[in-house]
Amino acid sequence: MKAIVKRVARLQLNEQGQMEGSLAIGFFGQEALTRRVEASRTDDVGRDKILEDEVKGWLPSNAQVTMTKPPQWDAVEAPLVAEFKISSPMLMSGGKRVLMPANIFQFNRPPMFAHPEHAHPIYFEYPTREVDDVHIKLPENLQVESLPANQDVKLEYALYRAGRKQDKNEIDMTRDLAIGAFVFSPTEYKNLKTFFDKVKEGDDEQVLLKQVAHVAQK
Amino acid sequence: MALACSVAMLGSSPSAPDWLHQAAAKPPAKYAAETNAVVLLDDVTLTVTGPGQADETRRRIVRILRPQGRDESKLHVYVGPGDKVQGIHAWTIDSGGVQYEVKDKEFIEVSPYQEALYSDVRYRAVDAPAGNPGSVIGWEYTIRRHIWMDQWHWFVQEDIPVEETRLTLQLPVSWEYKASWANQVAQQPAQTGANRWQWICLNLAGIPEEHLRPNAEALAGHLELAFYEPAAASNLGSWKAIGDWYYKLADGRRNPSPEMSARVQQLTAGATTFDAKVRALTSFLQSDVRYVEISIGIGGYQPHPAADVYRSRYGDCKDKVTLLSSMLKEAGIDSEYVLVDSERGVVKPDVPSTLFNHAILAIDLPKDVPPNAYRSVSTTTSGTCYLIFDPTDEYTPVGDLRTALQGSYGLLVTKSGGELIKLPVLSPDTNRFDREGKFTLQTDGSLSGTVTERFTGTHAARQRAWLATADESERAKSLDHRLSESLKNVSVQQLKVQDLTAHDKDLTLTYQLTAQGYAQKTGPLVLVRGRVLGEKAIEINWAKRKFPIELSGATSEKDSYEIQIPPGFAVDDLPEPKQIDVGFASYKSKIEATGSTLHYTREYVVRDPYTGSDHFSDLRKLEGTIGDDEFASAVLKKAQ
Repeated sequence: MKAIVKRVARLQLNEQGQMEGSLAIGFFGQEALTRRVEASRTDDVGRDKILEDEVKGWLPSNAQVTMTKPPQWDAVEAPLVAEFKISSPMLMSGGKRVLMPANIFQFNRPPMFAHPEHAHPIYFEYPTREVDDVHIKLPENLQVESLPANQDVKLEYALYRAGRKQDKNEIDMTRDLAIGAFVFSPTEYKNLKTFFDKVKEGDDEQVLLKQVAHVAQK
Repeated sequence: MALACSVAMLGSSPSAPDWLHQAAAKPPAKYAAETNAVVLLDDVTLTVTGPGQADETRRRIVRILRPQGRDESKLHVYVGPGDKVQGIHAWTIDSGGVQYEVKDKEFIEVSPYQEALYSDVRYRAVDAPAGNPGSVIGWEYTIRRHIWMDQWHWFVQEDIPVEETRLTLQLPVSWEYKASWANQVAQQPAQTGANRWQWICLNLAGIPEEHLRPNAEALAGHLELAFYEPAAASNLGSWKAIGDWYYKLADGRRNPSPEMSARVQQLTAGATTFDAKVRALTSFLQSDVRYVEISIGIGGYQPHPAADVYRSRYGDCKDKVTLLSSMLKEAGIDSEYVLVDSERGVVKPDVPSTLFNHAILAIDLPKDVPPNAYRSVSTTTSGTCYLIFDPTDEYTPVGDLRTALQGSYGLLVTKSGGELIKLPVLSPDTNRFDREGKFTLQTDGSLSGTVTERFTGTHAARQRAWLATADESERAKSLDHRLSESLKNVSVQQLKVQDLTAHDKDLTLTYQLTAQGYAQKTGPLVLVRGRVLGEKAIEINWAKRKFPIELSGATSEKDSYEIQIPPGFAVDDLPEPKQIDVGFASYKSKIEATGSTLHYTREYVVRDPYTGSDHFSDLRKLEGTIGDDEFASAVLKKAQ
């Protein structure tokens, strides 16, 4: 059974460093099922909050998240699709420059594996895939100075790709993380940890923006 | 499952009482969509039959509004030592009008406490059937209470709204009462009979969870009732009277045994000063007497005799206080019990009450010892200075006080009665966490170096508590875990712990670390975060604030990091310094470059951990500044 989380965000960064815009999420297969099971224990208000809290958990702590289109919770065969309005501080200081996460949903997440050794087998719940497609328009006072390089990491059973490109004043960022297996022996831990360390390294990368003076258009 | 659910219906044809039918038939009032359940009625009648005796009859009706309100169907009632349940029943009328019944014998008996080795306090408990949205659950019980103190706590507010709550007090002829209200406008009772009064409160808001809010007991409206015969010397309606009661309860418990006297002589041999004697004896209590609670009958309040505690080398908080007080007396030092609640704000100066859950000690400071010789000193209204010490806290040395107790009120119990004293609030400098790191950044982006962490006060006590119970491997693993919150792919070597058992010294940890991928390459530039270790920003993801804000304690925390940048790179850009002072807390940081070295420093100070909800915007600004700083980076470029 497939298990996919897909996120598509269209955002505008303002001159104060606040990112605002829309976010559409689709949960497919097992990912939809687990959330529907959780939602079955609450009411409409609680269901919406489950997803709003999940989105807040992906973003910086001061983020505001409002659901604009709730999913069809009871259409059990269909993907779970919802839309949100989000507003979140997104820039960090780098002197004259400012820094923006290249992966807005994963920045500064804890590592999957912290310890160098692992004594027991590793179980994930099921094979998963996360696909992100993020488009950010920059304000006139900011320009891209430097984008992190694209990432492409593969194992026999796992894949991580991160793409970043600039189109005029818009940055388009994609991310694809797929784990095709879910039971690993301790001997596989080193490979698995190396893979996830690279994922974290890629997820924590930042876009360097420079501040420029701009003249208001008549 | 279906069988289990139908047992209550099949046992006999259930028939909910009229009062529950009437409540269920009333159209539900409008509540905010997030309201899980509502108390429709909570009606208590307390019939005092004599000193230490009363019958409590309670009837309670709750309507469940949301699935999250299902916990309201988990019913339990406190049954203390000497209490006897006369009758207990529950009923549910679900949203379809189906009735369910739970009989007396279907309630089970459980222990509410996990910490105590043994306690004779019990809950009678049951999960009422059909606890679903739309259901109305009613239950009632009568319990003959053995009232160890002639006082009654009546909490009128809960986590969910309360539509109506009533307390009826029936006293014996000529008895009197004294009422004190907390967190609530004082309500006047109606006299509903001879020596019978009734208080009614309507439409009370709930106290929902809110991050960093004080304990619910510190916020909830409640009435403290003391009742007594007019001739009674002690009526528990004043702090003095409560102190009198406890003094008598503990009277004689501090008498020493010959073995204790000998041990005091041995422990204080060569100690000529007050300080030396106190340190020897407090240290003995912390290291040689285990915390074990065995609570039977009045034992929940009354300490065991000091001689018994000494012989068995274990006891609960009041036992440890009793033994220490007795041993200090043998060394010529007076001391008194102080009753406290471990949650700040529960004990309120203008509401005399027995809402205490912990005992600590006030050690009389001799006239020739200046009060500023110790940090943890409280002064009574008459000017007597006491050194406040908690012998249950194994890792906080005498002269210090852990942050959770600072600023609380405690009842000083003396021969002349009780006096409420304020426990000291120690300055941030007494609770320090300072960290220094010297690192080298490699061209591949990895970072390696040495870190020294120094802890004092409660920071040190917390670290010592876990270090003392962990072996070398567990310590390294735990540190790995802590550092991985700041660094990617980090490994730690050569962890050294200094002065783990010397509680009156700073605790020092030193270790070496290596972290891969610390610097980030972005095009021709390299980003280096100045703040190498430690997250201090608190997550604030709520828009409004209802309750006061309680931070963990006064603290002073400094970080200082040096990062040697790789040859061939130069600093191109540095983040602006950060500085904010919101009164109750402050934060400042800067990152500078000297030659090929980056220097990052920051200082975070909490002066007042307890601040009002009106400072919420200040807290948001403070945490925003800290969050910004923690991710700020220096920009390096290839040197020309």
